[in-house]
Amino acid sequence: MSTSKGPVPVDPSAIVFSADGSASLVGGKCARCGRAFFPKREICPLCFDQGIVEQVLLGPRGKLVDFTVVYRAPGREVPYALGYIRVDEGLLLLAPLTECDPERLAPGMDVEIVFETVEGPGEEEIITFRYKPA
Amino acid sequence: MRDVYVAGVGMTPLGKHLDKRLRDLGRVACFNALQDAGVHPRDIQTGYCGNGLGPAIQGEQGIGQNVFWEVGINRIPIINVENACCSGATAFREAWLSVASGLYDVAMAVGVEKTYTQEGGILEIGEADLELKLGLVLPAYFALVANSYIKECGISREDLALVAVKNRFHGSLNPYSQFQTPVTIEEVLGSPVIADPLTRLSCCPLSDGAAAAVLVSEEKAKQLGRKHVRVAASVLQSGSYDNPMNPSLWELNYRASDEAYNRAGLSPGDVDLAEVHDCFTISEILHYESLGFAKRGDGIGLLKDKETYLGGKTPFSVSGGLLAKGHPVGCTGMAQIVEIVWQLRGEAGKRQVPGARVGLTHTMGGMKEGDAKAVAINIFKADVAA
Repeated sequence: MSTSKGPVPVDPSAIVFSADGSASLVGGKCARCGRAFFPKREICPLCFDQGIVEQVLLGPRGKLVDFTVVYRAPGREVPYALGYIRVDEGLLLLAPLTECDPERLAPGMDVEIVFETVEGPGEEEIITFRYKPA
Repeated sequence: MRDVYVAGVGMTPLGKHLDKRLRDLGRVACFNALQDAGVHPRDIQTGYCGNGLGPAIQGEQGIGQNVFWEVGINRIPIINVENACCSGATAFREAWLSVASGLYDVAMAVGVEKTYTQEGGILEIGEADLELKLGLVLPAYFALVANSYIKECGISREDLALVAVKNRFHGSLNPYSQFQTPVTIEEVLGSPVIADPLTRLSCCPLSDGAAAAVLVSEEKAKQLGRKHVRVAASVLQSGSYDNPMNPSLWELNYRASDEAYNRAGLSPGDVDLAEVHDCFTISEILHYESLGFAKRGDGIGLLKDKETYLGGKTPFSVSGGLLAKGHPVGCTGMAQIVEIVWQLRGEAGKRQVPGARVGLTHTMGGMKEGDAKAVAINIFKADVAA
């Protein structure tokens, strides 16, 4: 009988769930200076104790800036692709991509986030995210 | 702050040392450095041991005390230093500071690492990190750096491969180098792709090894009566962790090198040779630029014009660098320092840079949010303590 507690986010500080169960990436924005952060952080480096870092849900869309396809990574299923994606608030995110054929990827292309539940190294289920060409 | 001299250095050959423990490798390096300095273990007043992965890979803590006691050093302040691939250089910088401050006259720094395990493969450090969970293994990070730079500056895969060709050639002249044979561009590009565009021969290997140095005050250097190397600058910095950042511009390197040149009262034109952090081929090209030898985008020209080859204007990585000589994580910074000291003393054999008077070491460590965690830059000048 499974004693699993249910799927857990790959990083609880980076993913939040709305009332309808849909997931979003969450960043932060300082209410005083407007600087944005990902993942969300507690303290604004500029404003320190005068700043308030508020939670900001990141939208699903972005632009692929750079990518690489990984062909050798012991213990991981290859090939897989990773990219830097520019999202809302001008933030640059590192994320895996759904597509790993370099012919179908190009810097500047529009991408969109997908959340997925995958099996972790143990028996746990992990909620993670990738970006797919939009 | 007073002047600090490197009185002695020593290292093991880098490579596969499956039968040796960390303390065995450290013992050889420390023994060699003490002998070289003409210093007895009981004269060491403080010791710093750089190691990145001992607790994770060997399950060993407090490695410094283990290493130093192997050569008979005990009953002094011993500090264990971890700054990822910059651990050894950080240990050196702290040892330098302990003597420069006036608190001690004789300090020792050692860097030691064993990354060869029976399983081999790629190092995965810091599993708690989100980016690693998402698949950002080290070669993938540097592949992203390479692709970002290629997109901005337009270099080719052949250009990148030249770094490995040069450094493997240099390594073939160095008895301490892990790789002893040169390679061709075709061999570099034809080796298996790890993360595009980086092939296996574009990446530094797993390595074991240790390197050590004895640092002394000027007065002690005079007492010891040997030709000495003076530390003209020893700088340590961390990254910015800004977002967004330029994925292929390590601004901490620019910042640290400015500081190092200022503190030394020198400029890039004064540097006769450099040992830099060429963990992957793309890295060395970026270091030409951040260390002030070329403008952004122009680094590849130095390589194509053979300026950074042995025999060129400013040889880089004549030891073979991380690519050929090897990269035992916490040892690397110290191994670079040992090489520069040998070079400034004219003791570098077939890979000697003629008339070398000023040498620079550059060591990076860790990745965090598209930036590095640490960089250490040391500038050494050949002085004779009269």
